[in-house]
Amino acid sequence: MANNGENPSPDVGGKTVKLKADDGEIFEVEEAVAMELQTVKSFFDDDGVSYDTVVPLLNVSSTALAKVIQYCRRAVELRAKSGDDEGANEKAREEREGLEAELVREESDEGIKELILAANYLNIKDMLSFLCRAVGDRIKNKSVEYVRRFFVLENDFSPEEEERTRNEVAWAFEGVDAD
Amino acid sequence: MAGSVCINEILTDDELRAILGRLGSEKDKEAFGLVCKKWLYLQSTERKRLAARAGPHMLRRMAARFSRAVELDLSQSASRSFYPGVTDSDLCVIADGFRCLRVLYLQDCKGITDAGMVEIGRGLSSLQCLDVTYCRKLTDKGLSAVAEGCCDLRSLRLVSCRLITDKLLHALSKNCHNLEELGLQGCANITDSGLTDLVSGCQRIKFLDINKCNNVGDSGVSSVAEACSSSLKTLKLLDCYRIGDASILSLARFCRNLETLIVGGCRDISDESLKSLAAACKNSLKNLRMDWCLNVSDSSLSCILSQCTNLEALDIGCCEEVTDAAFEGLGTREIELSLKVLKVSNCPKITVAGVGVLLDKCNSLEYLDVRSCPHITKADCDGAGLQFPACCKVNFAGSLSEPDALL
Repeated sequence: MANNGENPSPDVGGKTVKLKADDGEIFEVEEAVAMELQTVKSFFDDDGVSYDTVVPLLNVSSTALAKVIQYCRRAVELRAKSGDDEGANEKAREEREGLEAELVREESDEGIKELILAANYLNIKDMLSFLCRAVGDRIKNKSVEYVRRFFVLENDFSPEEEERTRNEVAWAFEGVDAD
Repeated sequence: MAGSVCINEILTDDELRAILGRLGSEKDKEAFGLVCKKWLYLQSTERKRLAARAGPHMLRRMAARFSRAVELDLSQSASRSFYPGVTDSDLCVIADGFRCLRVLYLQDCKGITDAGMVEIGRGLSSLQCLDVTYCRKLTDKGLSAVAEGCCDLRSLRLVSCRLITDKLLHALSKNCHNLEELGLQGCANITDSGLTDLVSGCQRIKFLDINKCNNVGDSGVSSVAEACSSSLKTLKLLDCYRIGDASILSLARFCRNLETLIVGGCRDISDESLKSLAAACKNSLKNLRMDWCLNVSDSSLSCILSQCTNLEALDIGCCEEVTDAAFEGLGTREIELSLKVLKVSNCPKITVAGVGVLLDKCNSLEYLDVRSCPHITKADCDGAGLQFPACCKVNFAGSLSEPDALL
């Protein structure tokens, strides 16, 4: 398959790394961006692995990988912008939050979940964090059954247990929380 | 759902907690807990603070479910009480079930006795903060058991536990060296030797309230001042009429961090010791209540006003010797007072002239109490053209609610 428009070949003369998605599609990525993916970093940390080796990422679809690369590329750029200056840091932080919001806004529930699996497999902590927060946003105000379907979870309470848990909350607590 | 992506396998507890953390409303957090048993466990152990009205059965369930709760509030009040109220057997359940508890509020749980306190001492070794205000049945026996079992105790409030004696202070001195706050208002059996004993072991006290402990005198207060010199910030001695200049001089000598001092009703205190205090604590003092200190006159008050630049609340009610001269010293100086609360009720020699000088130097005034001042009536103020700051409330006749900075 040809490279899609989301992954233009890097025109910088720096080192690049080749990543292969589960369907065989190859993505050529700047080294700095590739090292954001801890899984890839560990792959090359092993002695004797040359940077020309294509990294097989068998558990990541090409759609997910394309988005991950796009995010990491922008994240690396933003990190380079921040430094000692509080104002610059603040601006970079806002831009990163905008980037995260943009990434999740258009995604379906299935899409978000695929990205979570990818971020988990590729071991990208920051990405996994904001994806989980995005999931939190998606299950706000939703019923318990909706949440179970979203996560593909079985209800393992017996009817009595479920009733009792619901009752506890109803009359025992004054609702003080906020940790 | 066939074909739906399943992320459940890869989400660790940390990630699930991140998701839970995003849910703000109680309703959403409850829903999270109802999804499945693992999620209920996560939601329950995340919860650190609980407030409840609950008998032993429900407490047992709460303890089992919220095993990592750190703070438990069972305090009663007019709006929040239930029959028969918190009992000793409830305390037994708490001691067994909430092992990580650090903070326990039991104000007004009038039914509890020493037996319950013994359980607390036995089970809650991490307890740092206990409030048993108005739990009048408690005696040295129960609370000493708490002191012995809860060695990390930092804050203990015993307001109105009038059966308490020096024996408890001895137990605290022996066992609770991290004690920072002790509230003994109304524990009138406390004496000087008890206080001296207390501070031989507890030298980090920041807050000591012995209001109305009228057996306390200079030797006890001096011991406290010397032992807790760097930590003491708040000392309340309301109506401790045996206190005199020796106590104030000790505070001036040792306690440079003193922020709040309440000596209302300590009528033996005179100008000389207060002048020393003003000089020593000129940067730290924020709240000073000395109503009914009948020997106080202009000479110490003017020192206080001009030197204690961070003073925010001052009560000199019934200090009958004070006149406008105390304020006039301010007129010639380039200073700006930070005073927010000033109470001069029943000071017959102060007139609108003195108040005028004060207002000139003080833009931050929020509350002025001039009740029973024959020369400071509403008419007098209007007649003199006094300009009060916009948010300032003036109490001429006793109908306004009081700020509690000086309680």
